[in-house]
Order: sequence, then C-alpha cells, then structure tokens
Amino acid sequence: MKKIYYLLAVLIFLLFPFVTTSPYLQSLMILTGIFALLAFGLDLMFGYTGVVSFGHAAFFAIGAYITGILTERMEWSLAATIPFVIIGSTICGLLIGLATIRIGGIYFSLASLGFAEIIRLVALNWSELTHGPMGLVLNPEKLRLIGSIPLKGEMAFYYLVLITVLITIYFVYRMRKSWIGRALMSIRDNEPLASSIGISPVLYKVIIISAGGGIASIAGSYYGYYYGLITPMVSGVHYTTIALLAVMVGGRGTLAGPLLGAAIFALVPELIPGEFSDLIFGAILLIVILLSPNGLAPVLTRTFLSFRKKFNRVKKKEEGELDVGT
Amino acid sequence: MALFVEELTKDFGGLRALSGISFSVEPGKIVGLIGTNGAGKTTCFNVVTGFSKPTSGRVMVDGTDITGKPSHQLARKGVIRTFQQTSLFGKLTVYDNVRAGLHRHRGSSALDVLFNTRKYREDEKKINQQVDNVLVQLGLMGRSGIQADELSYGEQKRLAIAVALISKPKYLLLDEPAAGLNPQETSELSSSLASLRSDQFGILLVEHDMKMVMEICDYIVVLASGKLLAKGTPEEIRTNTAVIEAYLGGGKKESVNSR
Ligand SMILES: Nc1ncnc2c1ncn2[C@@H]1O[C@H](COP(=O)(O)OP(=O)(O)OP(=O)(O)O)[C@@H](O)[C@H]1O
Ligand SMILES: [Mg+2]
Repeated sequence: MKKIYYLLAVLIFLLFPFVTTSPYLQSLMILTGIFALLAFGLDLMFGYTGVVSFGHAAFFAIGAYITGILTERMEWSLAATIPFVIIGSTICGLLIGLATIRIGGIYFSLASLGFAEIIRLVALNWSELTHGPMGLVLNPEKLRLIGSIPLKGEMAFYYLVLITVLITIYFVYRMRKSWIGRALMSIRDNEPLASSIGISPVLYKVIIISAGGGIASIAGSYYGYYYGLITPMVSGVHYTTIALLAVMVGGRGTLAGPLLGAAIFALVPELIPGEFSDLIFGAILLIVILLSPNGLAPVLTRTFLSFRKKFNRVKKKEEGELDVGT
Repeated sequence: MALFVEELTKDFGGLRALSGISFSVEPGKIVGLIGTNGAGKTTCFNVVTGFSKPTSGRVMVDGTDITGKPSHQLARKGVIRTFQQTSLFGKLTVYDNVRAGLHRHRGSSALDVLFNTRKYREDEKKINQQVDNVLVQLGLMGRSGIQADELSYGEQKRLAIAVALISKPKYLLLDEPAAGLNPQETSELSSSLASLRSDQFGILLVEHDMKMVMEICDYIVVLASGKLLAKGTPEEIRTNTAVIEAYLGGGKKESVNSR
C-alpha cells in the first residue's frame, strides 16, 4: 500500500525531463540531486549516528578534485574515476575517524573542520595538480560517461544523478530498519548502553564517517563534472552549511528529509539571488526549527497521513459503511 | 566456567573505592553484591564490565583474562550489565530497544541487509520472535510501539532488563533493578528474576532491597568502604555480626533482617 506512493514519486521524477524540457529547470533538479547526495551522506553521520561533522565539504572536494584531475590529465571517463573517488574518500574517512573518534565526538567535529580547510589549502597551493585558485576547467566536448559514450546535456546528467539518488535512498531505506540502523541509532541515543550490549561505538562511527564521506565524494564528483569548473571553493564552509541545513530543515534521520532540504537550499538562491540568500538560509532554519524541531519531513508525513485518513473516511461514508473510528 | 574477580583494586585519586575484592559468579547461580551507599558496588560493576580500568587485580571470564578490555568486547564474551541510572535508547521504540539487544546474535551481513536477501528476512523474523518472547516475559507486550522515553518508570526498569536479557548473557550484572519500584513491583521483579534462573547464566545482583536479596541469592558478597566485609550464604550473612554492625551501626536505610 505504502509502496504505491514510493513508486508514484519515482515515476514523477523519471518523467520530469519530458514534462519540462527547460534546461534551466533541469539544471536546478540536477543541483538538488547533488545536494541531496551530500545531505544523505551527512545524515548517516548526524541523523542516525549522532556524529556531527563541520567539514563535510572536504569529501565533496575530494570527489570533485579526483574526478577533475583524472579527467583533465588522463582524459578518463567519469565512470573510470568513480572507484578512485570512493577509495580516496574512504581512506580519508578512515584516517580522520580513527584518529579522532576514540578521543571523543567533539574532537571529530573540530578535526573535520580543520580537515576541510587543509583540503582547501592543498587545492589552493598545489598548483601543478589543481591549477590553484584558477581551478580545473574540463572541456565539455570531451566529457564521457563510460568508454566512449559521451555525457552531454542536462537530460543525461539528470538521469545519472537521479539514479544515484534513488540507489542511495534505497540503501538508506534498507539500512534504517535493519540491525545496522538499530546499531547506529542506539549509539546516537546512548553510547554506554550500546557498548554494554556488544555494539562498538568506535567501529560503527568510523564506518559511517567513511560511508557518509563516500556518498558526499560522489556528489562532489558529479558536481565538478557537471559544472566543468573545480576551484578550492568546493572545500569551503558553504557546502558543509548546505548539507547541515538541508538535513536539519528537511528532517534528520528521515528518508525524505535530506532530499526535501536539498531542494529548498538549491532553489532559494535562484528565487532570492545575491547577498540575501545567506540571510534567508538562516531564517528558514530558525523558523523550521522553532515550529518543528525535527524538521519538515515529520510534519509532512503527519499531514499526509491525516489527509489520507479523512479521505478514507469520506469514501467509506459514501459507500454507506459505518465509520468505527480507526 | 565462571566469572572470577581477583584482588580487584580501584583508586579515584586518593580514594580507594575498591580494595582487593575477590569473588566469583557461576552459571546457574545468583550472587548478591551488597553494601551501604558508596561501598563501591557500582565501581565494581564498572571495572568488571570494562567501563573503567582497575588500578590492580584481574577479571577472568571462563579462563580468559579480560581485564581492562572495552565493554563491547566483554559483551561478546557474554558479560552484560544494566545501569543504576536506568539507561535506554530513548528515541527508539520499546521493540527496537529490545531488538538492538540482539545485535551480537544477528545472522545476516551488511550486504544481506542492503540487498534484502532471504537470509536477512528470515533472520529478522527469528529476531522478532525472540523479542516477542522477552516482551511477554517482562510484561511489556502491549507497549512495543511506544518510544522508550515515554514509558513509566517501572516499565523503563523492566525494559532495561529485557535489553540485557535478550542479548543472551552468560553473566548478567544488575545494578539496583528494584530501586524506585513499589513493593508490589519489587516482588514481581523478584519472582521473575528467580524464574529466570537457569543453568545458562549467572546473575550478579546489586540491590538495597534486603528481602529480595535474601530470597533469591545463593551467595552474598558484602562490601563496606571498598573492602570485603563478609561472604557467604544468605543465612550466614543474616547472622554475621560484622554485617549487622555495619548496617545497624551505620544507621543506614536498610536492615539485614528486614522482611
Ligand atoms: N568516577 C568517580 N570519581 C571519583 N570518585 C568516584 C567515582 N565513582 C565513584 N566514586 C566514589 O567511589 C565510592 C564508591 O562509589 P560507588 O558508586 O561504587 O558506590 P555504590 O556502592 O554503588 O553506592 P550506591 O549504593 O549509592 O549506588 C564513593 O565514595 C564514590 O564517591
Ligand atoms: Mg551504585
């Protein structure tokens, strides 16, 4: 019964490029998808496991630069760079996780901020590899998905991002109801109790930092490939903020939350351009957190459920059945 | 086959909270660990279960030295504790709290989960069955969908025991399971603990309720200011002059002979 709604949502997204052929709207959807990946990665750490990262953009940057460098230097296809993106981000996730998580959660939070800054400085100064502040520029004529299949135009990118987001959501959906999800959430809720029943907080946190970082790095890889320009800015506070805001406003630890939040923060700068968008970001966060501390997703689910209940009741009345008040 | 505590000593700065304590817990037995407030009972739990490191001494589980190992490793050896301050996964449902307790007995891999294999689905079914049994055992069946935060105090205490119990302890350490319960709840808990007694596992029970301790324990260890005051059967402890002296002389809330 519930599956129907999921399938319906997927169908709408699949048909979207046919509904509107406007490249502008499609590009907004692509950006939403990329931000959603970034946010899903963060939500694994923050929403499910209670690990706060202030340097999520570091992984975004790692993905963007690995893809950028391998594409520009070696003329690799996007698909060929992805394994290296995942290996690179996993190694970084393991290193920073193992080095800090043992000492305590707050040390990871601070170290992650420093880590993102280090990545930014390396990108800025290692000019032979990164072209410094000018950034890497990818030739749009040469972009290829895999082998010699070109990756060109909004529609192709749209489907690439959509499929990746759908796979991510599917895995999160599987994970959250399983022993994996319970282990993560038990660590979030009560670390000593979790370890007293055999769940290792350090192990799971390190794994989830690597997994969350891995998803963010794929987001970064797509981002760099799609815009064709990769500058040290990708490791800046901006993208960490977007991910944190998307998760908090959308609803942490929910399936729809990161996607919803990503849509909001991808669209707002388009509606309100320039200096004011940061102000609006802050205002949205404040208003949502004050009205619904757990974000928008729980509110929408509740509204939807009560709407459906009302609808069912009306239908039953029409059929002349007694409403026994479910 | 036993949990051995050997010459355990724990200092907090200048304070010797435990000094040279030795005792053992065998499967099938319930051992009481009693003593007035501040005697060192919780400290003993923390050291045995890896939450703090001893200054000296050893903890042996079934012949393996596990002194100072982190608590999740001890859990894997079957040493499971509850906490004096009732401790739950507050945002999870009652059902998921108990299911989390089965973590180390899961029968599916991460890949099984992500690809929803049959192995995973069958394992979850088995897990749910066990959870239902434990919920019935502890009278929480009707509450399974409720967030742990929202349970009554008594229910929370029972849920904490359910979480520990389902993780199939070989040695179950309970820190004041009856604290804050009314007399009826206490006697219910007492009889369900007595009925839990099986050859599968041993219980180390810290409890101020003397009636309960005297009723269900096979053996009692008495601490006073971190030192071993007495060891023996409930009958021996009841008539031990040093124990009576410590309890009555100290003017504490409980009495060894209280019924
Ligand atoms: N982390 C700590 N740091 C310093 N002193 C501590 C610490 N934990 C316990 N103590 C001290 O060690 C002594 C034993 O405390 P413990 O909590 O083990 O007593 P208890 O027997 O469990 O008492 P109660 O019946 O009140 O729970 C007390 O004097 C206490 O103040
Ligand atoms: Mg205590």
